[in-house]
Amino acid sequence: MSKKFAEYTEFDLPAINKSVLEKWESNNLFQKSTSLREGGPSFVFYEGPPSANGMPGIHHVMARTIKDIFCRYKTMKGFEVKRKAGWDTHGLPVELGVEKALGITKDDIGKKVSVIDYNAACRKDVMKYTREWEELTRKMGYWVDMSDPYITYDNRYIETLWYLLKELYKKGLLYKGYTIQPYSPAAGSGLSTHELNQPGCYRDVKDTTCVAQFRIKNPRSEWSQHGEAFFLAWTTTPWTLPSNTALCVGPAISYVAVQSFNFYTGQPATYILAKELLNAHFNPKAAGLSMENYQAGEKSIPHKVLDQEYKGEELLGLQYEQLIPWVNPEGKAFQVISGDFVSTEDGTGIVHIAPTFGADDQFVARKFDISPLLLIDKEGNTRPMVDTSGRFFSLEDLDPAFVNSRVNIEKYAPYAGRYVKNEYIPEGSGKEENLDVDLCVMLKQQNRAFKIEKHVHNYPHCWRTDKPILYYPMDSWFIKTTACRDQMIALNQTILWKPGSTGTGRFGKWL
Amino acid sequence: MYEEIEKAVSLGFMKENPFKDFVPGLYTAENYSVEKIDLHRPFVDDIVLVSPSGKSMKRESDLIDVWFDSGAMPYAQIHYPFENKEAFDSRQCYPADFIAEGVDQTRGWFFTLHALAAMLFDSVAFKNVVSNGLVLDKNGNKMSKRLGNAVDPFSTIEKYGSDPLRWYMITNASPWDNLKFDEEGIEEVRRKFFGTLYNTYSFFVLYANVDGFDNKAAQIPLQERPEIDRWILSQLNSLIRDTDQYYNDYEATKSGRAIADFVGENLSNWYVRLNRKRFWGGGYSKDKLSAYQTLYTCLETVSRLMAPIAPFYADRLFLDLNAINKGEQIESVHLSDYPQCNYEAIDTELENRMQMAQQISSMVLALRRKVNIRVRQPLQTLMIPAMDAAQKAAIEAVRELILNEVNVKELKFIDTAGGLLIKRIKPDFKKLGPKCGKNMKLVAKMLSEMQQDTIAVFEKDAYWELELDGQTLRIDISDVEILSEDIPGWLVANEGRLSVALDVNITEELKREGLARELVNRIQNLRKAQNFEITDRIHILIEKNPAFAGTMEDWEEYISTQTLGLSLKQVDSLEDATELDMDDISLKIKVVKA
Repeated sequence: MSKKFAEYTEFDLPAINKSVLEKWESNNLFQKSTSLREGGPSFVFYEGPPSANGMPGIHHVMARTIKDIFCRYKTMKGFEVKRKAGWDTHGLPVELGVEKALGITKDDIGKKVSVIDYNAACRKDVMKYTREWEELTRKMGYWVDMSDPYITYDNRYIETLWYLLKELYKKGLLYKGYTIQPYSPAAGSGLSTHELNQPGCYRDVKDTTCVAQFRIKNPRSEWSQHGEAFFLAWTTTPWTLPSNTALCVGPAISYVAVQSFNFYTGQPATYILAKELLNAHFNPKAAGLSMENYQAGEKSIPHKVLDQEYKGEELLGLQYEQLIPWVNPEGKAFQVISGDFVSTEDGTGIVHIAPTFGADDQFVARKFDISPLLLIDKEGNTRPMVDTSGRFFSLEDLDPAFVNSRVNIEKYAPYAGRYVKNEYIPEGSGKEENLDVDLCVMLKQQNRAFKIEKHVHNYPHCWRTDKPILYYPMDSWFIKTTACRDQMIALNQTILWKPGSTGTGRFGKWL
Repeated sequence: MYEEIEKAVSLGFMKENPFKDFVPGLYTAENYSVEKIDLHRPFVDDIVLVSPSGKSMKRESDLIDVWFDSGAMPYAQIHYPFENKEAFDSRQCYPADFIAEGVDQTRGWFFTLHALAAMLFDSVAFKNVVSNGLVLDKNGNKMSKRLGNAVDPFSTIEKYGSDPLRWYMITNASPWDNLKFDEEGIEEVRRKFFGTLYNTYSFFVLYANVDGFDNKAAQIPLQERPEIDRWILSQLNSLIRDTDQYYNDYEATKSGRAIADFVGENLSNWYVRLNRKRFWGGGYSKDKLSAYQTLYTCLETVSRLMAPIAPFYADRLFLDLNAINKGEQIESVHLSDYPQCNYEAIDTELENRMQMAQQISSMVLALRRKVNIRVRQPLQTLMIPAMDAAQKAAIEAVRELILNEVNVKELKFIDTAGGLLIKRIKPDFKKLGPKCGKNMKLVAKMLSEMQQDTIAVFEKDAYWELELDGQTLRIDISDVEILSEDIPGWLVANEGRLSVALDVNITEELKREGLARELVNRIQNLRKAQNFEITDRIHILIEKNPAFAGTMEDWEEYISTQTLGLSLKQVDSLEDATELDMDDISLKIKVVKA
C-alpha cells in the first residue's frame, strides 16, 4: 500500500480514459456495480434499440450520456439498475441498405434475389456496425449490458410480438381497412405518420400548380350569357387531375359567377368561384374595363361579377364534363358535392377531388357515393392510375379487356408510363420533361387552364430516400389507438417529461 | 402455433412441419435458433393452417408498422408471457422508471411504448422520460455526411477523452435544447473544470505528501475548525443537497454546472487561494490538519458527485484520494454511495457573508483592471453604501478578508443619501412598455427625475409604486437599470443591490509601497531563476535610481524581510546586473547568495 498520494507530471485525460477503462473491464466493474445493489430497490431502465446498420454519430453520445448519468446516479443511491442493451433490426433503413448493396429494388425480391437470400443479407447487414457501436459505448463509458442484448429479429422476441398482436385482436383493437396513406414510391414502401414526422421531412418545394376550368354541363341560365360556364378549382398536383371524379364546395360558403375571358385563349367564359377569393383571381382594377372592346392577348382582362350569390349547398349535384377524359370511371361521378374541410384561405373555394390520392378526397367521395377513378391491372387487381413505382400505368400492365372498354387509348397513350414526379425516375438526370407542366400545357391548349403558376408549398418527403411522398390508397391492418385515447391522455399526465413542454405539447397534442 | 401446424400436417394441408425440430416450451437460445425455427419470410409464407370450418388459412401479407417492434420491447425483451411472467406481473421490471432518447422519438418510440402499454396493460410504459434535442454544428446547421460537418465521436474521444465531451454536452445547455456543437467548448471544459480540479488535487498532494498527511487521524470537529474551513464545508454540503435534488429531478445540467461552479469559484479561486499559507507553514499544527482534512473532504466528495457525468476522471480522483487510507478495500467510485448532505454543516449566513466578500472583491478587481492598476499597488479607500444594517453587518464581518484580497487600506461605509454616489435610473422599455402602455413616456420622465433619496428607497424595497390616472403602478427593480456615475478620482461599480466606490488616486506614499511590493516579487523571481534554496539568505544590490528614491528608505526593512535579504544596498553603478523593466522604470539589480 502506498504511503503517498499519487503525483503526476502531466494531466492527460485521454490516457486516464484508457487506463480507467482497462481497469473497469479487467475487474468487471459494471457487473459488480449492479450485483452490489442486488436486493436493493430496483430502478427500471429501458434502452431504446438503435439500428446497427448505420455508424453511430456524435448525437448518440448525447443520448447515451443522459442515460448513463441517471443510471449511475441511481446505482450510487443504492438502487439495482439493470441495463439490457437492444438492437432494432427490422424496417426500411435496413432494407434500403441491403437493396443498395445488392443493386436491386423492392420489385426484384423474389425475382433476382430469393427471399431467403434477401433476408440472410438483411440479417448480416443489420449488425454491420455492431462492433463500432460497442466500441463507442465502451469508450464513452456508457454502462449497458451488451453481452445479452435483445434483438428484434430473435424468434423469442417475435413470439412475444405475435402474442401481443393476438391480445390486441382479442380486445377488438385490430382492424383492416383501405385508406389513403403516405407512400414513398422511391422506397417502395408505405410510411407511418411517425416516419412522416421525422424532423426535416416537411420541406418547401416549388411545383407547377393549376387553376383548371371544369365545364358545367347544364349551367343556370344567367351563367350562359357570356361564353361557356366553368367551375374553377386549384391544385398543386396537376397529375391528380386525370383522376378527378368530383368537385367539392363548402356548404355555407358564398359563390359568385363572373363573366370574363380566358387569359391564354381569350375566349369568353363565365366562372364560378367563392366570393371571398374573387380578388385573388380577378384584378379589381380591371373591373371597370369594357367587355365589348376586349381583344384576346391584352394584359388587363375585364370582368363583371353577376349580382346573384349562391350558397354551396345550392350548387350540389350540378354536373360537369370530365376534365381529362382518359379513363371512364363508370358509376356516379363528375358532380358537385360538399364538405366542411373546404376553406376560402386559398384556391377558389371549390376543391378538386381525386378519391384515390387524398384522405379528405376519399372520405368525402365515399360519403356522396362518388366513384374513385380506378384501373384493373393484368393480374385483375383494382389499382389507382399511378403504379407503385410512381408512374401512370403502362397500357401493357393493364387488363386488355379493361383497356378496350374503358380507356381512351389515343388520349392516354402519350402519357402512359410517365412518372408523376421526376424525382421517381431511376437515375433521372433531372432534365426530363415535367409531367405537371405537360398536363398544364395540354389544358391550356384545350381552353381548360385558367391560371398556371409556380407555387412554393410545404410537402412531406420520405426520410430515407429524401424524395417526395405520395398520398396513395393502401389496404392494411390498423391498431385502433383512438379507442384508448382518453386513457392514454390520462396516463400521460402521470409521466414526468423533460422538458415538460414535450409531454404537454408535442406528445400530448399528438395523443 | 406448433400444434396448429401439426394439425394442418395431419389433415394433409401441409406436407410436413417445417419447424419439426423445435420443442414447444423450451426457451433456450438454441431451441429458438434459425436452424430450428424462423418466423420470418419465406418460411412463414409456407405455413398453411386449418380454420375451425376446415378451410386453409395463409399468412396475411401486410406488415405491422415497425414501431410496433421497438414499442413492444418492455415485453419482448423478457419474452413475456412465455418467460418472466411473474417478475412482469408483479411489476418488478415494468414499467420503466426512466427512459431517454432524442426528441425525434416523441411520436415514434415514446408513442408506441405508451400506446401499447395503455391498450394492453392499462399502464404507463415509463414514469420519467428525457428527450434530448438535436446536435447541430457550431453554426446551427444540421450535421450531415454530405456537408462534411458531422463530428466523429471516435476521434473526439481519442483527442479529449470521454469525460470532457460528456461534461460539455451536458453542461453547455439543457440537453433538450438543440446543441450547437463547438469543439472549443470541450477544450474550455477541459481547461476550466478538469484542469482546475486537477490543479487543486496537485496542490493538495504536493503538500500532503511532504507533511505525510494520510487522512487517518480523527476528524477535527467542525466547530473547532476556522471559519473559512466551515465556510467551504457548508458550501460543499449545500452542493451535495442541490446536486442530489437536481439528479433526482433529471436535471443533469444543473448538477454539472453547480459542481463546476463549486470547484472553480469556491474551492480553487477562493478557498485554496486564501489558504495557501496554511499549507506552506512549517510544523504540523491543528490548523494545518484542519486545512488538509477540509480540502481532502472537498476533493473526495466532488469525485463522487461528478461520477455520473465524468465517470473516468472521477474514478481516478476517487481512487487516488482513497489509496493510502482504504487501499484495496476500495475498488471504484461507482461502487461507492452518493454523498449524504450534513445539514448541520450548512451555515447560510456564513455562505451569504462570504458571497458578499467574493462579490465585492470581484467588483473591485474589475475596477482595477478597468484602469490598469495591478493588485500589488495598494489603494487607500473603498467605500460601500450599505443598503441596511444587515448588509452592513455582513460586510463588516468580512472586512479584513476583502481588504486583503483587493489590497486596499480602508473600507468605509457611507450613507446612501450622502451624495458621494450619483445614481441614475434607466428604464428597461421592453419590460416597462407592457406595464405602462400609453403612459410609458410619462413614467420614463418620472424615473429620470427621481431624487437620490427616492432612488435609495426604491433600491432598498426593490420596487416603487407610483400613482397614474388614479391607479397604482408597481415598478419592480428588475424593470429598470440603476447606474452610478463616477465621481472624479473614484470608480464606481454596481451589481444588484451592491455598489462599491474605489478611490483610485495613487499618492506618493502608496506609489512607494506599490513599488516595494513589486520589487519583492521581482527579487523572489530572481531567487527562483538562480535556483536558490527557499532558506538561502541573500545580499541585494541596486543601482541608484531617482524613481526609487523614497521607496528604498521607507521600505528597506520590509523588502529585506520578505526576501530573506541580509543587506539591501544602493550603489552608484552596477556591473553584471539584471535590468528590471517595471512599467516606466528601468532598474538594475543584483542578487547574490550570502
